[in-house]
Formats: sequence, structure tokens, C-alpha cells
Amino acid sequence: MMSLRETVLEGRPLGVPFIDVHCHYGRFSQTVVPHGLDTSLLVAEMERYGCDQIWVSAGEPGMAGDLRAKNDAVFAFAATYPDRVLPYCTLSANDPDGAAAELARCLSMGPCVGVKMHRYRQAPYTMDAEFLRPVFELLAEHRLVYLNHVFVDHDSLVCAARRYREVTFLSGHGVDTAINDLAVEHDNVRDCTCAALTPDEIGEEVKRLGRSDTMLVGSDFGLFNLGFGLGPVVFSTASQKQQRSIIGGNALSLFSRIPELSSYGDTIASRYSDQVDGVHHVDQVTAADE
Amino acid sequence: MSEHERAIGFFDCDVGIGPSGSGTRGFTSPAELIETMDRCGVARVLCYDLEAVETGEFGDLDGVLTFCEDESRLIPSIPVVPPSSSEQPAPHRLVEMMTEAGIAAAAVWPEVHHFDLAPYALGTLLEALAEAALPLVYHSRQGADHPWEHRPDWRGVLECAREFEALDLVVLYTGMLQGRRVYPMLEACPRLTVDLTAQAFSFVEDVVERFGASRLVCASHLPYEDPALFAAWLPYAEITDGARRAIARGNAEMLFGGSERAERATPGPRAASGRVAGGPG
Repeated sequence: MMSLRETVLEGRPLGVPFIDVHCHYGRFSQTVVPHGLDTSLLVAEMERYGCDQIWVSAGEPGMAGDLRAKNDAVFAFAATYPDRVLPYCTLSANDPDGAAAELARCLSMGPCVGVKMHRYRQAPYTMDAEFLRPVFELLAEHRLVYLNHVFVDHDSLVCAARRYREVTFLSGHGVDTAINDLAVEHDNVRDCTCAALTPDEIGEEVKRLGRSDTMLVGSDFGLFNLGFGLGPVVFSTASQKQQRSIIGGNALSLFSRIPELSSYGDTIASRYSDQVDGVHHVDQVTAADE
Repeated sequence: MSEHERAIGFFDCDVGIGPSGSGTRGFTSPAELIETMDRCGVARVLCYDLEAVETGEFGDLDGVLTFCEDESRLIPSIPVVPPSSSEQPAPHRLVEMMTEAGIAAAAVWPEVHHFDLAPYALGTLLEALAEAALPLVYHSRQGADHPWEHRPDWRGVLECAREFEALDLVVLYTGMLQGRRVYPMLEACPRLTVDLTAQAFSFVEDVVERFGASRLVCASHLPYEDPALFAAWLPYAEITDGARRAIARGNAEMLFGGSERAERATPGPRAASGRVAGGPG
């Protein structure tokens, strides 16, 4: 059997559950992204990589233009490719008063994996910000994900993670060792590997932690290419089992926490029934497995 | 490494070797570097001496030559500075020494070493390099840099390219948000090659379609960043296998491999399908 590394070097579809949890759809004013709005090309790239699903937020999330229109575009993309694209509702600290209402509006539009927020060109905020309370309450009600570019204040993150146990708090850019340490303590805190630039960053972190269930692959796909997220995982020194958990197994496990979206996990898992058991946990590698 | 990987194997144009005092762990032996290369399917690399760049030991060619001497997969380059500062032999003598020693490229770090990437500062050296068909590699990365907001000195590149039309210029670490500068530069400078730091969706496909496959090379920026960032991108790009091989390795072999240097010594416009008009793709 080919390793994931060999499969990638040959440019073949991966052949294991692959869910990219940090993607974008929409314009980025700061640079040119050729064909970045062409949804058929985005999905064609997913096909070439064997990527089962992407979790997508808006381009220039919460820092430019009409947020509602940006969310509409992301949800329309998801509606066109319902099995392949799960939308985040993008919120902004530039509109704190409208945040909860916009989340409610997005939730009414169809399947939604949770909320994405960024930091650039927005007022500073932490997880104890008043405007986030109704947002977290809604997310908790639906047991969804809260993805942030980065969590700048870990004390307020821990408080929120304890208070809203049903919400999964996902840190957008890793590898963040402090977030992974928190993730070991709190099973609703997770690290996204997006922009793991330094040599074997993911392999080193898996070695340090002795487990790989705290990280999920992300690439900023839509702005960037899928390989930007996948490469640092498959070319890392982490074991094949650990790599598979980061590429898709851990996201499948996350689905099992979200009843209203669990069918997505079931569908993806069924494609790889020889590799993934019915409750998605085979690829969730913890210290006990190693 | 499988047979297929060896055939595809990347040529990585940006690898610092030797120890570093900057807090980054450098490669202290060829074996250690080769282990990392093999991890990411990299067949060959263009090396520079990290310590020489950090300390300004521009006269010392031994570090990189010694590191590379027993391993054909490692190709040496040296840092250069403006000839007027007299820190290195005069341009023609320096180029002669490079050719004799098998040094494949001259490399500049203008931001790190505080000089201008401009004909007034580098002109006589650029002339000598162009005559010898040796490329100039512009390392625009500096210190604890991040590609997101990074911006190379494009005006300097443009000035040098316009004044020395026969010179092959390679810009490394182009930055992630530089597309609106990269495209006009590729248009304006026929012998300019850039790396894949952009990462933008469809960037490879778009550049190949508009400018030809000869304008792109792979560069990891080891030991700071990882070859994985290009190694999982290029195999899936929607381009021909010929274009893929050119970007993965062929273009860099043409620039730094040595065998084609004599051919490149003849100045001429580059065709979209090849480095020199009428040359291989």
C-alpha cells in the first residue's frame, strides 16, 4: 500500500477521509487569486486531491464589504455542492450588535458548520466579549464549531470552552503548541494546522504531544491551494495513522459531536468503510494508541 | 525514494546550510539535509552558507564548497555584495573563481546586508555574471519573516533586469500577496523567474498559461520553511506533465545545473515554452 506521501508525490487522490476545515470563498482585495471565484474549478481541485469536504468561510472574513452578501455567496456555493462544501457563518467584531442575528440568519439558510471570525482590521476582542455570548449560546444549542483566526487570550478561551462544552473551539492557524496543550485538557478545543510553515512542524508537535487527535488540517483553500495544508501533514514525520487522523479522522470524530451534521460524517466514513468504523474513531489517534 | 519520485524529484532553489546563530537550527551535515530532502521528494538543492550570510564572511567560499563537495545533489551558491565595498574579489575575478569552483549562482540579500538591488550598486558584477551565464538569485526573505505581508524590492529587480537583459534573475520568497506585482514583473522581465511563495489558488496554472512553464521554480527556504509547501501543490496542478517537470526541476537544472550554461550564454528573448527562444521547455 502506498504511503500518503507517495500518493501525493504521484498526484493521485488521497484515498483516505480528507476534510479541510479552514477554507475561504470570495474576493481578496489584497491580491489576485486566479479563478478563485470559479466554484467548478475549486471542486475540480478537490477531486484531484481526493478531498471529501471543505469547511468554508468568506473571503476577507469580517474585514471588508457587506458581510451578509459574503455569507450569502458562501452558502450559495455550499448549496451548489451540498456534499462537498459546508459553510461557516462569518461574523465580525466590526458589527458586534448584529452578530447573533446574522448567525441566526445563516442557520436558517441550510447546513452550517459554525462561525468563523478573523482579527485583521477589526477591534480587538476576546472570548469573554459581550457580543459573543448570544453567538456561543446559539452555537451550543446546535453543538457547532467556533473557528477563530487565532485565540489571543487563552484565559477567556478556557472560560468559554468550559462554559460552552457543546461548542468546539478551533484555532485557525497552527501549529500552536499552547492551543494543543489546552486541547489535551479540553476535548472541545482544537488546533487547525493551516500555515504550518516550519520544517516538520506537525511531526514535531505530534512527537511532543504523543498524540495527533488535537489537530485538524486546514489550508486557506480558495485563497491558496489545497496542498498548502496537506503538504505539511503528509511530508511530516508523523506516522501514517497520525497523518490520517489530522487529514480527516479528527474531523469525522468532530461530526459525531454534532447530531444535525453527523450524516455528513457517516457519508464520508462510508466511502472508506475499510478504514473507518461506524463511530469514526479508528483514526483518532491518542497516546494510548501509539 | 521510489523510481517515480526520482524521475519527478524537485529541485529546491533555496536552502541554507551549516550552523546558524539566529535561533534557527541549521543543517550541520549533508546527511541531515539529505534526510529532509528525501522526506519531501527533493532530488537536488541550491545551497548557500547560512553562517556566511549571517556574519558577512563574503570572502569565504570554503564553507559551502566543503559542505557540497561529496554530494552531487547539493549545488553551491555564494552570497555577493556590491563590488565597490571591496569585500570580495573584483567582479570578473570573482566570476572566474565561481566558475572554476563549480559555484552555480551568485546570491544577494540586499535587505539583510543593507545595499540597494540596483545597477549603480551591482552593475559591474551583474555584467560579469551575465557574460558567464551565471544567474543572480535575489533572496528577499529576512530574519523572522512571514510570507503573508512580505514584499521584495520589485523596483530593484526591474532596474537590474532592464539594464542587464541577458542576466537570469531569480526572485525567492515573492510573498503571498504579491500577485499584482509578480504578473507585471513577469511581463516586463523576460529572464525573470520566481518561486511559488504566492500559494494562490490556480497561480501555477495561470502563470504557465500566460507566461510559460519556464518562469517558475521551487524554493523551500530551508531551514526556515518546509519543502512540503510546494511538494503537495505541484503534483496536483492542472498543467501538462512537461510543465510540471519543468517547474519541479527542469528550470532550476537549466539555471543552476551547469550543463546548459553555455547555451544560455547566448542572450536572446525567452519563448513561452522555453528558457531561451528555440530552447527546450
